[in-house]
Amino acid sequence: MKIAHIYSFLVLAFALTYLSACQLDETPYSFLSAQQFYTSASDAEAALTASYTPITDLYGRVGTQLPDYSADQSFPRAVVGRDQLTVFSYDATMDLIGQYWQHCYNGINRANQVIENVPKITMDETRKKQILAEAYFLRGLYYFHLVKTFGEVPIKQESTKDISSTEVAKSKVEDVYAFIIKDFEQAIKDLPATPKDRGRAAIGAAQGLLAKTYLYAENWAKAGENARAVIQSNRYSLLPNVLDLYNPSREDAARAEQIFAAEFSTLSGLNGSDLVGFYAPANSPPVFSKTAFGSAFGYMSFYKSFNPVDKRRQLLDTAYVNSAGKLIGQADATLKDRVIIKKFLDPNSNGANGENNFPILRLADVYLIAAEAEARQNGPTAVAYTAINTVRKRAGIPDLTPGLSKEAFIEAVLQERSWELYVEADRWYDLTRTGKFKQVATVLNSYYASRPVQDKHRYFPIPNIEVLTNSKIEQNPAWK
Amino acid sequence: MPISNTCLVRQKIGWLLCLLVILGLSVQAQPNRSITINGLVTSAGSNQGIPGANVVVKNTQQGTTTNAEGEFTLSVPEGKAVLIVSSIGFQTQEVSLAGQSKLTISLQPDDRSLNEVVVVGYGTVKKSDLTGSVSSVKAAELRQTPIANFVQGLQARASGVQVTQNSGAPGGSISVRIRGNNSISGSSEPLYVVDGFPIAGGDNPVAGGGSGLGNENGNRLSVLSTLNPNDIESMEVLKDASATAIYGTRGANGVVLITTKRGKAGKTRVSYDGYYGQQQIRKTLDVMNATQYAIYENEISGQPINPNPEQLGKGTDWQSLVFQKAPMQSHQLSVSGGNEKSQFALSMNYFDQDGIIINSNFKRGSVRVNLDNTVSKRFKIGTSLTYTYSVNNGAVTSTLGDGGPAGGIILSALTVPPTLSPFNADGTPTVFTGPYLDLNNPVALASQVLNRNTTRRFLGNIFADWTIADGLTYRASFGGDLVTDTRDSYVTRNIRAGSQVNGIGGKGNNNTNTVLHESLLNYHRLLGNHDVTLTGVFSTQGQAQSAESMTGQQFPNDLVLNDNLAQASIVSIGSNRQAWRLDSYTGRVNYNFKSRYLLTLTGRVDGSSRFGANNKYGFFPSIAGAWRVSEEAFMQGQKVFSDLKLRASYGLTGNADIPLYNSLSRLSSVGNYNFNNVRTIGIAAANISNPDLKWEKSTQADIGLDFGLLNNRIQVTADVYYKKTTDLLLSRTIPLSSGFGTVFGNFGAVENRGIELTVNAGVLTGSLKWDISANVSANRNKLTLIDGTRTEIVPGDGGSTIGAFTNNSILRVGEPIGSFYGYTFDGIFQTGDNIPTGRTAGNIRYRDRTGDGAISAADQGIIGNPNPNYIFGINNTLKYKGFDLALFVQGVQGNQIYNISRLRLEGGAGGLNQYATYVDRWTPTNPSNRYQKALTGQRVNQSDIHIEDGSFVRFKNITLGYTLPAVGKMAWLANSRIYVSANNFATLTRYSGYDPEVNTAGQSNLNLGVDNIGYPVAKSFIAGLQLNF
Repeated sequence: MKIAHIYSFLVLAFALTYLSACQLDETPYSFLSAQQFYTSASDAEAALTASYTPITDLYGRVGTQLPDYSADQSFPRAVVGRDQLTVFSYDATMDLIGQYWQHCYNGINRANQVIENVPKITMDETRKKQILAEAYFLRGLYYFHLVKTFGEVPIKQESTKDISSTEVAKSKVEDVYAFIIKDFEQAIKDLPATPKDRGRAAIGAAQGLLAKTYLYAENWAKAGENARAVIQSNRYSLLPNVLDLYNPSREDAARAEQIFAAEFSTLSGLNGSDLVGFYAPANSPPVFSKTAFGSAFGYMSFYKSFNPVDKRRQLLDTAYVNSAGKLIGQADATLKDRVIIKKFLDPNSNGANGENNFPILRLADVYLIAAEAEARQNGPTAVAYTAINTVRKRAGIPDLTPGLSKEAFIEAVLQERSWELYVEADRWYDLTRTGKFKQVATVLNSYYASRPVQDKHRYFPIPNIEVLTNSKIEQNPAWK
Repeated sequence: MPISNTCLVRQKIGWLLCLLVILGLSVQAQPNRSITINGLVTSAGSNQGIPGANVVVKNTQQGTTTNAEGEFTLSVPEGKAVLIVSSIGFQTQEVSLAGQSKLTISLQPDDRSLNEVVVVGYGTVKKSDLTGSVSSVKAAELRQTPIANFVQGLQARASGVQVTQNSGAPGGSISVRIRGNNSISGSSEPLYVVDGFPIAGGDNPVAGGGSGLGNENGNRLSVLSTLNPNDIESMEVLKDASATAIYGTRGANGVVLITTKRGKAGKTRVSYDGYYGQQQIRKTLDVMNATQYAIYENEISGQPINPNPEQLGKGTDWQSLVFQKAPMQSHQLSVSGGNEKSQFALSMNYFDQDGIIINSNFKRGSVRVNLDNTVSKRFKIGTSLTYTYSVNNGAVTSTLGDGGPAGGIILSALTVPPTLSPFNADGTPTVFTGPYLDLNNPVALASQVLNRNTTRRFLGNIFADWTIADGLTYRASFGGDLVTDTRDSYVTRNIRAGSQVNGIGGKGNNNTNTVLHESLLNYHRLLGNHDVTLTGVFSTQGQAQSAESMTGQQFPNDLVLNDNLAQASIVSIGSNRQAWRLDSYTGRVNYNFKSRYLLTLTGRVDGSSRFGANNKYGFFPSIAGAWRVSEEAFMQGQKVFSDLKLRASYGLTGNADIPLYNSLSRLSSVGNYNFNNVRTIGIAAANISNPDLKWEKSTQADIGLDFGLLNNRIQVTADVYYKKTTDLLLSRTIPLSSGFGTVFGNFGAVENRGIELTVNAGVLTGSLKWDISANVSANRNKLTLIDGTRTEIVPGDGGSTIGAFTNNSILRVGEPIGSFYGYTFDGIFQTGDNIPTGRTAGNIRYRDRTGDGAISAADQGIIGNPNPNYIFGINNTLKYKGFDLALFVQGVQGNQIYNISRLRLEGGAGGLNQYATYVDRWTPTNPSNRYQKALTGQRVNQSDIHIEDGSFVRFKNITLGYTLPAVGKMAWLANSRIYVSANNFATLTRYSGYDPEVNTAGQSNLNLGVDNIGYPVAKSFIAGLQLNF
């Protein structure tokens, strides 16, 4: 072998060794690593924003579908299995049930990440406390959704960091309520009176939801106390015209009453409200929405339950003029036995994505919480009558008959809640918490001739996927 | 990133040094003196000249081929040169030149030469010296059937290799399983190595942008379709650990080595190889006609929607509107040749296949340049370069939500009511309204959706061989695989997905650039009876991928499609970048004693950026031995075995098909929120980290037997293997209450056991020549571990919704991966039966396996297995004078198919047309025990009634050809051939769907044998011409 060859060979060997001496670390380009994050005020804000996102994921569709299609106000067109909710044929494998659960726990995990990581960030202390308070509020909000929908659920107090911490057992319903109450109380301490930005939680949101939580937990005194505190704070007022609440172009004015809502937007990169398309009947003109799915309608029996002068009935309709200019009424196959729901319309929608915010808590709800809590604790007192009549007055209907029995008064409040809060993901929970949910079996029409609701439908089953993967959890006994 | 920058700088310096050395060497290289010899190669039997025989100077790349008369002229180095003379059908012979310049070499006929060279990882070996399990497929076999993708050419050709055309779309998705399914979440596709360049076998990473309609798994283009099968000289399938361990973390699924054609010294050869043919659907499915549908619609609605069903007659036959007879053609022009110093092979190819669904097609143009140059006695350089440009207009056959509740084109053609009309008066496709609002007109799906992928691919490498000393060679190679995939998409207002947003269009680019360097040191020494070859390889491969996508919605009209996205009032954009790197150190020892006792040891260390911080490097060793019994003295007396070899191997391989960055906790924008009506970015952890993430580990033992009978007229290869794969990569579903859906890690274990048998026989060897090559293989797959705590993972949520097929199979310890899971159909509840609450007469009765009196999830069980009992292929070739006749049969036996389409099409849930069988549904007056009654929104669960026998025997190809003799003035056309063939012309099966070769879920390991009506496989008739000048 020539010397030159040996020399060349050595250089080559050296070159190759040198070449291979690189680290095999992965360099992330399109995302951040955990070490890079949670270091600045803007990181804290971004982490908090991520905790808000599941609200619009939830109320994009499933948050209202699960309770509202089960109840006695609206029903879905029989596509892609949504009618299973109406005819109670679903089981734990139904995808919508899994989605509801998942969105809530995504929010909880992200709120937990904020609660764990933000305290160590160096930033403005006032804002830091607010951020933490918002995270506590959100965590309470998600748990409230879970407990009223599923009953016993696992309480995750810490974020998931590794595989070993993914399985947590269920807690009793009262323990979940206690946890939610603690979170809302924690939030009330540091939340500002007026939110930093439109769309964020403020004290009123936490206190109002605290009142509602106490109502569900049947602590009437605390429910009444907190509801009255929200009313008496004078930060909120009922809009004079109930129709304005649902006008997407008056969204900000509606914040006088809208205490907390899922903030939808037609802006690119944000969740728009799908409900505009859902409730818009087939071939409806763009005044409803640019895209009409015609996926859900109201029951005629619900429409007929209104006092015809009730302004809130104007958010329902029995006929419409379609995009071809033809009047479609009850005689037409498209609208037979169907009442159009007009709470969510957006003529400027992007396809089926509307600007419309979805109400999670508004002052009218708080008045009715106050009325019910007072009546349940002290009977139908003047305080209770004032609360319910405030809502009735705004709707343009006469005051409630004076001198009702306690039971009749409570029944009237529940009926008022139905008229006031229909298709706002509330009615089914009123029916289940009061044990009246089986009465939906009689709410029928030509699409749904039978609705065989059973005791087990008090709560939705825990999603099958959770039962299968979480060895510490068992399906609710009624669903086994 | 300071670390990676340093790394890059180091890399650059390293490459520069390598280059300098090589340049230096090439300057040093000295040409040596040579003499010219003339020779004649003849057949020992007839003394006739053998045309096209290879004549190569031993230990050099110098060589030539003989002319039509068997003559050759070659320049050889002065001194003691040895010529190696070979020709297919003859035993290779070595001839020492002792100064003579004119000689005649007579070759012994040998139909099945054991001296045939087989390509293995980082080298070649003589077939007789092979210790591992390797199957070879030659160019002639590849070309027998018209194929868009070379992988199709492997189908039924090699034992132990199951090739499934998931989608019948031109160039569509293909799955290859070598010795079973080794993985759950990782890819089970083999590694493909094209002229030394490893490329992945996964389906094309589709660029984003647009609606995503037509973009799902089953609709993907196979990335391998972007290579021209006509350029391939041979394919070798490496199966056992001895053959594959040298590919380390990429060897566990088997390796397919592809060698392209190279030039040979001698006369310049020009050849044209082309065909033209027509394809058509094998069969159509019977659905209810308009009358039957109208009756059904009336029944389910309880109202006389259609007052006179009988008058409606047959109605629209949607299938006839979307299927077509489709042409396909391929034209290849090749020129090759050269002299002793330089050889070249150039080719151009144009391939054009229309799909049997209207408006779908795949076109590919490619060029190849393969060059070899002997710079000096010690130095040789060469290159293989190919560029392809492919355009795929994909049909929307996706059956997920995007196509609407009725699914993609074909599923819509089956489910859209025949009472609807396809076209408006002006010829445009109808948009359905009223109760049919959710349905897409299948004709519109096929004509109103732009779904085009354009792939540009450059694949090339350049290498230099340096003979450092006798027996010691060094090869450096540098290669690049640059793939750019562009997606154009647009959905017009005639489709729901488009009308909802006034048109949606997009453009996306995916740039995947892979670079490779290999340094290979080879040492060969013959010491008496000891023959030793040592091989050492360092290789480093890196890939950088970047993607951009743009999507526009709300267009003023549908006229400009996606060519001016600025017209869209809402535009969204996205981008992504990722990279990986793999460093490898490989060694091999081949030892043989008297060609009788053979030993192969290999080892590879792979370090991958994908692995978790705790597991950066893996070691993969193997050992194999072979005993050529027929070479023993005691075997010399017998006449039975002309060859007999026993082989055994054992080793470790890996599968590192880990999605990138999965060991890290990734924080990214998981969603945004609207504060103050401004989009505010939210960032959170998108997954749980796993620093222990590593490769899947396969341990495989193989025992093989090769023997030849009747002077190798019959050759048999048999193998038995056992492969255990542990540390299975599993994107394990974790409780949703964790805030995450899955975690990615190494959890399970699976085993594959099997037997393979290949027989090649020359049944007749006279003037009528009849060859049979047959292979049969059986594999048994069994999951042995999931994660130590669970013994099964059942199909999760989503399974209830009709048509959703996210998860149909169960992972259960002790059962094959992909086992179907569901209820057992037990007839229909009849009036008067004891019917449980919530059910009525006419509903399906499922078997109460638990016996608790109620039907719950616990009553489900394993209801089918998509894995075949055995697969086989038989090819017959008959030759008589100039005529040749081939018959190729493929068989898959004992597998089951989950015909998921029947959930919808026999579900009777309303709104969709049904299979004609559903006419026999339960009604009070027709107490069917097979089809439940029609009822709006009813649930149909996954049950064994939808599981069907998927066995089939397919006559894949029959070809009749005629090779022109050398006659008079037409002698220049000698060796030219014309042929006609019929492909997939008959399939014997009991399967009720379009075709038993189906997997709508694409390359997924879990959802095997699922038929949700994808793109059906076609049959074709072609005529072809091969000209050689």
